[in-house]
Amino acid sequence: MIRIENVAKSFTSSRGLVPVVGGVSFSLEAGRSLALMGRSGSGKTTLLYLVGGLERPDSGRIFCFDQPVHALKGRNLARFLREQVGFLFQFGNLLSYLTVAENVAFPLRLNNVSEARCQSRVQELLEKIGMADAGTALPRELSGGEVQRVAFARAIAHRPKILLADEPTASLDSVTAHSLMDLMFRVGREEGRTTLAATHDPEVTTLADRVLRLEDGKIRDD
Amino acid sequence: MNLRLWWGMAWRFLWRSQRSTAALTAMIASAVATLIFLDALAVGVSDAMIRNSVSLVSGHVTAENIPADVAPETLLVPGVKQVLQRRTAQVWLLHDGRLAGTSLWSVDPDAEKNATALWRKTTSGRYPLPGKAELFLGEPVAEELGLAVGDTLLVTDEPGRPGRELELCGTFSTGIAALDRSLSFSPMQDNAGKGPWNAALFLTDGTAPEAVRNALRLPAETTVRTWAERMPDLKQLIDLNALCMILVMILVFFIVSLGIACAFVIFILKNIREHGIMKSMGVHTHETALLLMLQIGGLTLAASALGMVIGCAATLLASGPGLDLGAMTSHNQYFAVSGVVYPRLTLSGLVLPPLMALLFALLAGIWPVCMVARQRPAEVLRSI
Repeated sequence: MIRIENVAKSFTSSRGLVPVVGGVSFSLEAGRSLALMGRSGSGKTTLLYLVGGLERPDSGRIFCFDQPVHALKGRNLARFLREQVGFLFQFGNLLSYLTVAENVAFPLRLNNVSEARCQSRVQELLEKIGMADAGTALPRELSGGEVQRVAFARAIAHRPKILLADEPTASLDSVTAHSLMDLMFRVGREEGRTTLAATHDPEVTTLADRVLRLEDGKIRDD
Repeated sequence: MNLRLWWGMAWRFLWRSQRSTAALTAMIASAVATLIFLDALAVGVSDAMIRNSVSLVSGHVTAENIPADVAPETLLVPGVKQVLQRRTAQVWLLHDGRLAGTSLWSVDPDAEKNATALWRKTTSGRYPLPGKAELFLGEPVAEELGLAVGDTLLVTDEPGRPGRELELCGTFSTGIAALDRSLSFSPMQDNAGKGPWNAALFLTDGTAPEAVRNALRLPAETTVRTWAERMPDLKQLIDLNALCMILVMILVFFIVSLGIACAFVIFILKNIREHGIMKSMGVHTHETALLLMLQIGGLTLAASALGMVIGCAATLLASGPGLDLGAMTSHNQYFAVSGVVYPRLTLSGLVLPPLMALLFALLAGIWPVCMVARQRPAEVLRSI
């Protein structure tokens, strides 16, 4: 279960202190999916980064499966990220020096999964995303949709409890975007994963179990 | 920590960013190769100075005041190639009413010509022949006495006392005033007596003169000296040469390390996105540091190995015919015989440049590693 209690986060800029997330509270049961909707600058990405431990809140508490994410740092934070979290970014963010298969295998190798199990999981995922023959390709040889599918495979390779997706379809055409979203929520349900997706794609509302609308860093509609 | 994983990652980063890797490799390899060659050249110059100095007349090791009952063969300890037997006497030379003092060395002309190079410095006439009553004299002394080749002069222990007559068979000039003005040579006579004698020992290549001195078993009254003890000025010059070489290495690698640091900063900044992504996947700061250090270390080792091959090849190429620096050494007493320098590889000259390259590269890597370690993944991800 993910529990967020009165979380606030501000950034300092040339305009002074800019509040990005202001007193947000909600909880999400394990295995459920949530779409965070809102315009650019509404605080979706920051909220995702806070849940994933990439940002620390100024105030409030965040618990992911009883782990106090707001207090994690150093090795504990690294272990939390590598074992329990999968990130799916807007532009895929594949490691450009690794092939498709190596990218998907990276979180498994990071978690010291045996080479045999690693190879079998990579093959399984590449088949699932329809790219079984593209294992040796480098990211620069892929289309935008393929990059996002590989990024999705990488994000779930180590079977994380939580998938955090930050505008994963923003750079894709509507057909590819729908196919990726469908894949993400369907596989999430199959594997019992808790999914948080920040998006402004209205189609996601039909796929996610729950939708939260953010405006100026606050929840406007649940 | 999974070292295999990070080594594999480092290798892939380097292999798949070929242009950056090639540029950095070229920089490090050329620095290592240059320093190996320069060190070999410096060693070659030192070798040439020693070779010139000892081969002219004195040998690597000298033993003075050896009792008559000690046979020359006694001195043939391991590492000694040849022993030259000599007897010396301070004498006066008289000719045409003129007088000059000299140290007269009674020698075996054939053995001397075989081991020393002084006879090559003949300016007129020839080197003495065995058994003949002849004298080989420094050119300036011969001129002072008004002697020409073929003239006869009187050799005596004290002016006014009877002596023996010798014919001037040749003159020499080494350019070393102390040698040209103070030494003269005459063939050893069978009836020369059995007094104490001196020895010049010529060693095989690579034999340490100190080891030979320690191996010699000679009476206490015999004085044994190595070339370094006999020519402390040359020893200092060679030590200075070695020190300069180490300073050059440090300076070169200091400058190269600045280049390496800048190149690595560019290389790492180019990949900062990758490091941010990896951090967001749970890669710890010390793993990022390890990855970068493996990249830097791996690249430096590979580039150093290449530099060693190039440096060795260049040295071997030059050491065959040698480098003739005669034009720059003709007035130098330590190059009296020959100005040809043969670059020579030594273990330290071969190992020190790559080790310094690795040390300086790792030091140079600290700055970019700190930069990456300080980067927060969220900042990097926002900047993409």
